[in-house]
Amino acid sequence: MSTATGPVGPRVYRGLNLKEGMGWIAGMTPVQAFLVAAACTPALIAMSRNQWSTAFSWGVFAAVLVVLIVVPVHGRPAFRWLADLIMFQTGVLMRWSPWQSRAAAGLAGDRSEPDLPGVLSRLEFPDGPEFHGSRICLIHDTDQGRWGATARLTHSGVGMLSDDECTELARRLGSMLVGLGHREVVDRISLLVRTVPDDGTEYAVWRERHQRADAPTLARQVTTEIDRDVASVSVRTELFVTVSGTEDALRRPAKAAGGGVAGRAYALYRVLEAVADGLRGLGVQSVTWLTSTGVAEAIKTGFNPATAASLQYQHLMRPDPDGSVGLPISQAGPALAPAPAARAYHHDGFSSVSYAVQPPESGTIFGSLGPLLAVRTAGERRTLQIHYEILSQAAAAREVRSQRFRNNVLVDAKAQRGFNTTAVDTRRQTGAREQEAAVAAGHALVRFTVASSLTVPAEWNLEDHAARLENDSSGRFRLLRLELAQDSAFVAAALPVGIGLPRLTRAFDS
Amino acid sequence: MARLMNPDGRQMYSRPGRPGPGERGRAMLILGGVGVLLLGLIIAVIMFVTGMFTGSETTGPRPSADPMLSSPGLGPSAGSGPQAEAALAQAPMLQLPVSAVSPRTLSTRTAGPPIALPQPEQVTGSLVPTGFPATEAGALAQLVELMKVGMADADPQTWARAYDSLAEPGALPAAQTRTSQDLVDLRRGSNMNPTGPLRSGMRISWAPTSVMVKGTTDDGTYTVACALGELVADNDGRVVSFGWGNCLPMRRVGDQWRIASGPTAATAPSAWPGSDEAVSAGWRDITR
Repeated sequence: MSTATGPVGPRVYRGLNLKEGMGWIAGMTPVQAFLVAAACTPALIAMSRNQWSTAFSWGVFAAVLVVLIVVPVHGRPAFRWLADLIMFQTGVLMRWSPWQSRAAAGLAGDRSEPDLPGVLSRLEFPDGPEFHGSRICLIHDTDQGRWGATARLTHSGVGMLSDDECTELARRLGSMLVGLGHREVVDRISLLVRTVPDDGTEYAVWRERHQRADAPTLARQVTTEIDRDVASVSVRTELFVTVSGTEDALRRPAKAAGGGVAGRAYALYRVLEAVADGLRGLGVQSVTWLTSTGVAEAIKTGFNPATAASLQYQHLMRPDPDGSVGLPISQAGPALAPAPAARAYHHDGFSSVSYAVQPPESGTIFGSLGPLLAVRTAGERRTLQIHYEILSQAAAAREVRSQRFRNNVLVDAKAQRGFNTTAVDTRRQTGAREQEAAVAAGHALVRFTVASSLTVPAEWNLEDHAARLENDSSGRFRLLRLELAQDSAFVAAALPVGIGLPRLTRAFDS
Repeated sequence: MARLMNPDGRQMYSRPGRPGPGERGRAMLILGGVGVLLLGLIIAVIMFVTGMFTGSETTGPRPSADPMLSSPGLGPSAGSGPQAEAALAQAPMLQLPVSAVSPRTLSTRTAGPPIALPQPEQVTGSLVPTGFPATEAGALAQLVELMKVGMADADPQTWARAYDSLAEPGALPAAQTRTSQDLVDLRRGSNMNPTGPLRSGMRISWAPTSVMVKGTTDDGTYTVACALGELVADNDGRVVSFGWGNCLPMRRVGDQWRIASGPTAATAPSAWPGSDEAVSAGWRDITR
């Protein structure tokens, strides 16, 4: 990140759109390079045999193929689209993608056995030991070997803050991430912001309790009208934070703490305190680590915003302080999710569209993601989730080194042969150098991804609302609709379980 | 609000838990289509590439006196008698650019199996060894011997002596043959004396590499034989080499092949032996 040197105005954050895994063979990944070489082989063979007309026709063929392999359309080259389409349709054909919960089929399973669709099926939710008076639900990702926990936050928002305060908050977020990076247990943190259509349940319950029987009829009528007009458009936001650490990092402290799930939980608990403190520095008023009921409700309301009202009502009428009789984790999932369409995901009477949010090249300012959460129509729900992964010092150094290498290979090769280097090349190169300098000076490197989604009731016109969301972000962020992967993208954008960043893959380990 | 509903959204409530048959059918169609496309692409590529390596096999079964030696692509229908002979001799052969004679990469294709040439029975008492069997291969061998003797030192006089020793009366005079003219040009173009021995330190020799039969009359007594070889000119160690071919009409007279009377054969397609051009002209290797 670099700052604008202007004396006035908000700080501009640049260099956020460094694409990870940029190919190092002339900008191609090794696989792409291999395919391109294979495509050019027949033309070269024909050339070596002096068959020039054959060579020409093969050359045309190779050119078409190379375009299909290399040129990205909507973020993916044509061959990648084809592979994704094949996988997607295979899922439909083999009936892997449609999903129906056991409860909907009338098979009530064990209460603690999760029953979730798609990528969520790899999660387990064991209860950890006691922590501040309640048993926190651990989120165990069996596929990637991660252990995490989720907290619900309350925050007053940053809309009314001055530029200086915003800069201060950003700085604190940075130092919190650096602090996490030094802790070596937790390396991922996901912040989820969801708007909740305010159904007025809380208000209604309060009214019921404070209703006077002898109120005049006119006053009642007026109040009802006001409620109807005002409450229908009010929106609340809920915030979640998910932290998780790898099995490898947790294993040894867990063994020291007694081993097993409990040991891992203890090893994680030590860090949760620090995370909560860091979050309070960001202006978060309260941090509540969720029990299994809380996680189940967060997932349930993610899939089905309409259940929030009944759950809220239950909480208000029959409080359940230790979270033992609430919604079981086995009923957290949607009752029904048919085979996802290519461009949308339908679940429990709602439809969602999910996007990857891509930062602009020109930089962005604090709070520019806000419009993605500005609900335009009462009843729609927007979410935004940012996943951070803090790389350790060694990994960060290695990463910036390889980044610089990848950028320099191209630029130096061009410069040595007297070719012009483009502005983009130079910019990337200087950016990579600056990054390396920053890492060498002790800063941490953070991988991040931003996902956003929009959910509306199934009978609404989904494309209309999706277009509005795209309009809201235009000029600030580019929204990339994650076609053919809407169900997984929804998990990354709307559910506080910490799934969303792919594992770091390197073309080569230097 | 407009109702541009996604039909899947409706369907899911009428058919809980199961994707509609339409969806699976569509998936099947798409997968099948993609599979067929990919398979077709892969097969096409493999076929093209292998085809490029094997090269196009020359085909063309032609009736000929000796199918073993039939050369491709020349089809004056053979008969017998002077007209058939003239037609056969004058039938044009493949036109190759002049540059084809200089050395180049060898082809992996062949114009046919190699031809075994018989040995001469009489090597003394005549300028050119003679005594070959009355077969096409015999005619070819006779022509090769004639060339070996006549091309020595690239001397038109030597050529004329060798030619005349085998020519029938009525055959084209030696000085008017294409080979003689070429040798004269060669000598003149390289500032050598028009005839006679070469400068000291200079050697020119012709080594046969390939032959072909242009055609044979039905009675087998008249054959247009062609020979291709490497002409190597060595001037004090600086070596230049190129392909040199020649066709002559041969007639079986008594127990030997003679250069036939009547019109001489059309110009032979000269090429670098073993190159793609030589193969396409129909030259086949010699085995001794």
